[in-house]
Amino acid sequence: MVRRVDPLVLLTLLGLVLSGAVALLNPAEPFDHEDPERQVGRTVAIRLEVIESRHGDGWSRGLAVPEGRRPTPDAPPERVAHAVPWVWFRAEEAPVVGDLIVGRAQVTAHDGVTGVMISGPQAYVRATLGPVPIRWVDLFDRPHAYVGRTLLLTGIVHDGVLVSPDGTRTCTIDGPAPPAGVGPWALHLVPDPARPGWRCRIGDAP
Amino acid sequence: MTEPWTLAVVVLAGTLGGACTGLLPGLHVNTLAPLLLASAVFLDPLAAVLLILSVATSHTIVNVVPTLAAPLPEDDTSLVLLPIQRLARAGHAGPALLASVRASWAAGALAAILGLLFLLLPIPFDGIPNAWTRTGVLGIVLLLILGTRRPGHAALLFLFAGAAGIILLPHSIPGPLGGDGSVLLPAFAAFFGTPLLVMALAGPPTGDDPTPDATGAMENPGFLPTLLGTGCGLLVSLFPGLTSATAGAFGRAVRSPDNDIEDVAMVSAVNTANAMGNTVMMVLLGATRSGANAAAARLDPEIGGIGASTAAAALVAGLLVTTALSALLVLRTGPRLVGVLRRLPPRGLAAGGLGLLATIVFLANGPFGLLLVLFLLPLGFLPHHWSVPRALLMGFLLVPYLFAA
Repeated sequence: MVRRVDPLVLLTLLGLVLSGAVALLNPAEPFDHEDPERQVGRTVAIRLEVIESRHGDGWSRGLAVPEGRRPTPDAPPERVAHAVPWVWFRAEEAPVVGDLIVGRAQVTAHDGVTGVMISGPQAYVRATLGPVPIRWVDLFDRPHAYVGRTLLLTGIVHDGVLVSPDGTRTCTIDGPAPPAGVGPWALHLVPDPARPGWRCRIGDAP
Repeated sequence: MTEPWTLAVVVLAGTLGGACTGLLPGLHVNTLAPLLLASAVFLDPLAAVLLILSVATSHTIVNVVPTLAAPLPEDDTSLVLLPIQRLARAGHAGPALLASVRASWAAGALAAILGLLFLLLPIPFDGIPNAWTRTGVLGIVLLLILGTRRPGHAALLFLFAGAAGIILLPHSIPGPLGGDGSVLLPAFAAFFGTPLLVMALAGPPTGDDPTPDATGAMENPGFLPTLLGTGCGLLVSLFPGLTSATAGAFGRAVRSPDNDIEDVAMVSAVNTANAMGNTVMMVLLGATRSGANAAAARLDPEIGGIGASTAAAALVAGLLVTTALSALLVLRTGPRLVGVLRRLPPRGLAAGGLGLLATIVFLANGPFGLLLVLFLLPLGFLPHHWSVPRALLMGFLLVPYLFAA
């Protein structure tokens, strides 16, 4: 004999299943600065402060701060590294430097040249996460935090070696060296398997 | 991330906590929010928020028990005091309890499902624009006033409460417990808890909003009152300043109940749906629509506006389980509890409730808070004398909101 299940129990179970679906899809989960790798593919709230507006080609640059739970004060430094990337974005109307654009952005990658889609309050803009500006001291204090990411570094190219402006730090250039100059250089930092140290793979500046 | 077992323990604790506050007459969970805040310091933010909201949700289901036992209402149940007392005196306490609890359970589950679907909508929802919110609030208040038998008196009560709000709300009266010393607690104690308990002390059963055509007939309320109550409870959660008492009175204005049991089911559904709707509004917009939500937002400021996230899903699922557990708890023990409460002297219970309320007001707002309760108490008696909905005293919050720039 089949016992009739109370409809309220079924309604409750349906609610729990739906809660599970929300937890799995979590479309509005705040950006988790402590686990940036897992944010790829998600849409997160983002705050963008315009720092450069190029009226010619319509591209602008802004400091993008994904809104979300901040890393705890005792989080390892490498966990905080992704907090403030800057993005190139294109808006229907060129913004003014200092404008604050609040919207949502899809994180398509957590490192390197990253494409994000930002919807502003009125216009949809397409944005591309650019290389992260970095200081030599930060790069070499905790280089492992920057492996695989595109960094923007100012330095002098000299005989296939990238040298810091003060001459105290160097990075062997992996691959063909660009013409001598001071940069800034967009580069990838790669570990050197042959010996303890790091190599810089220099790419195109945005 | 909070461990699932922690959340399970918190849901159990919240269910039992809400059962305790629900059984104490005259005590509203909003009144207890400062104490809950203090007790939640041992938990991580999400668990602490769930604890407070679980207590609030469970409270809306259990608070029917003391109302069945004696004419000892609080603001959520004041609307159904007379119908439920009529049912109890006619020997229908059991069916009334069943109707109330099942309506609350269904409303809680429905509100959770609708809230989760709302969270999943791919359309960005930043809340109802301010101008529309004011128009909506004004519309609901007008319907409420025009739906009474004495619209002139109802409008006057709303404006009196509003004038008090305009004068008093900018001030604070800190008490021995510290805190922000908001005058809301003494004002709500004067408007909702104290007058009903004082009238209960005076003897004969009392309450607000007698249902004109109520028959006390024992019929299955059907699903319509629950649906109406769920809709009204969710609707008012969209607007600031409106409470479940307003939603209940609004539901009656929309459709007069055919009998007492329908009335009880509708108002019970309103209370639980409103608690759930307030939580959805909190995670969606960061809006605080109740004292419990405000306490939760103080515990974890980041919980407001988190949207369709894992934390939001955990909160709604936790409250859904709380709803089911509380309903099962009342269905299992309610009749026995009603019997126990009935053996206690109603006047003694009312006196105890008054003492408890006075103690909480004193702790939060000091002796001047108690003086403010006495000062505002005449306003709290007006709904009974004028036979207009007590929910109109929410003008205390709504008039300053409507007039704000």
